[in-house]
Amino acid sequence: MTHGFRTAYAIARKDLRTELRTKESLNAAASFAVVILVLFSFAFPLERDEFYAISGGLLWLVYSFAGALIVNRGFARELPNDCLDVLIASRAPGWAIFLGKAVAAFLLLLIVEFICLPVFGLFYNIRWTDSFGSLVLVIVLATWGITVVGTAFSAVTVNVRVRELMLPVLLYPMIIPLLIGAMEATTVLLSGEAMAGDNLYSLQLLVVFDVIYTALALYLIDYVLVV
Amino acid sequence: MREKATYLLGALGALVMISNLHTIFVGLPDDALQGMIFRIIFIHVPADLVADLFFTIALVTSVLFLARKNFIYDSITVACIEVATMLILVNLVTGSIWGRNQWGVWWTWDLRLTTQLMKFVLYMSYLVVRPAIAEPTQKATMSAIIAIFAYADVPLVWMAIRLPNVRTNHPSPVMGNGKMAAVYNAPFGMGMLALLLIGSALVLLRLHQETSQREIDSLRRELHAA
Amino acid sequence: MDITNLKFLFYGYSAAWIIITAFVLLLVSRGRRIDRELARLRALVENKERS
Repeated sequence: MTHGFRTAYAIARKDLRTELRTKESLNAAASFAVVILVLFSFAFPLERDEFYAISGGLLWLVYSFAGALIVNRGFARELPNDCLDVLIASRAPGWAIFLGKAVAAFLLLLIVEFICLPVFGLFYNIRWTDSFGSLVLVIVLATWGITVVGTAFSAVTVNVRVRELMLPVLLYPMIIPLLIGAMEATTVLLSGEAMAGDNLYSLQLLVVFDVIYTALALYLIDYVLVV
Repeated sequence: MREKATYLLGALGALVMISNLHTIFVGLPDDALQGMIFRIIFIHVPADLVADLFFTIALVTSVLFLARKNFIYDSITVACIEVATMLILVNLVTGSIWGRNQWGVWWTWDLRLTTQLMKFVLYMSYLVVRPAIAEPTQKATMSAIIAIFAYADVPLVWMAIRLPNVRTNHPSPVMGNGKMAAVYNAPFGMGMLALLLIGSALVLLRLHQETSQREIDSLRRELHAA
Repeated sequence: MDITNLKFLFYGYSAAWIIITAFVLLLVSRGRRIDRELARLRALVENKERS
């Protein structure tokens, strides 16, 4: 078991180090997210107060587009030079490889999201610093959901034709409940309401989604990662 | 043998359907408020229920495939999912027409309709990705995993749409489920039976095609190898 | 019988039947294509075994 966690840590570190050195997908995802933010500002010419009602929805749409870009690299990164086959054939347990890659994608997506948040606040005049703790909790929970499902599908689609199209086609419908919960929770927080009472339901949804899909992915990944 | 079973099921299903249509139109009193349109329920709801049954069967056979690696399970999975997706489309379209008639809108984002749309979208993604996988074993394995993930998503979608502030600007119309008078139970049951028979016939047909396709693939490999 | 909304009922059932029929036709045409291909391949394999 500790061998597995050590492997997961090693893989996460390798992925993060590769990505942070080249910053390929980080740059792509972050700039794509900013561009989408700008596009949406043209799409919805709303008054400032009306904007709070769709703030959560907008933010999570942007985050999910960036997320798809980041998880796409997850297992595809191992394709050149047969690295994927070597990884699978090695002693590393499947769940450890998956966990390492999921954690790396999670951290990368978090970086992109926290870059976008001030830009979002700037363009749309939204205060996001009140109840920052709750906002971070929501972002962390929902990002984990996106990355765990995304990394699982990255493994599933690694040998599929037109992978860059198939991964989003699979990913987006699957994470809709998660996005609904995240959008709802974020709108509530950005509008200044407290995260209590009825609003806790969306947090529950996020947690349930994360637990179910983390368990499913960890359990099923061994069937995906075969040579 | 299997072909005979398929045709028999199909013919039986068609017969039940026709007799049921007769009952629906001639033998039943009207709903006080809705007039004739109420009778759409006898195909609208059974389509959903039969589809759900097939999705559940697909889940079971997906798990069985992963456990036993027998390709028959994969064939049953894809057959069930195709037929069930078609039935969900029937459910969506008939529901939309009913809605246009009763509430004046072709679509509304209420709990039931949105869940149905989500099921359709989820399993369409399965049907779109599956042909893109070339190698047969991988195709079957990945399809099984996608099917399992998709099935787990449906209750979560249900949970998500019940969030307090989501979709409250639209009314949540009741389609009369669970509130039908006893006289409607027989046609409803017959409608279910009819769709179940027709659906099973289609699944068997599709299953037969999957097996033929697999034989084609193996023959091709044999020809190339020699 | 109250025949209000008969038009919509007709549309509803027609839509359902059109979808089911279209699906059946799709299946049948795919089935014919598969059977043709299978027959062709079987003939090829037989010829190969004979020669």
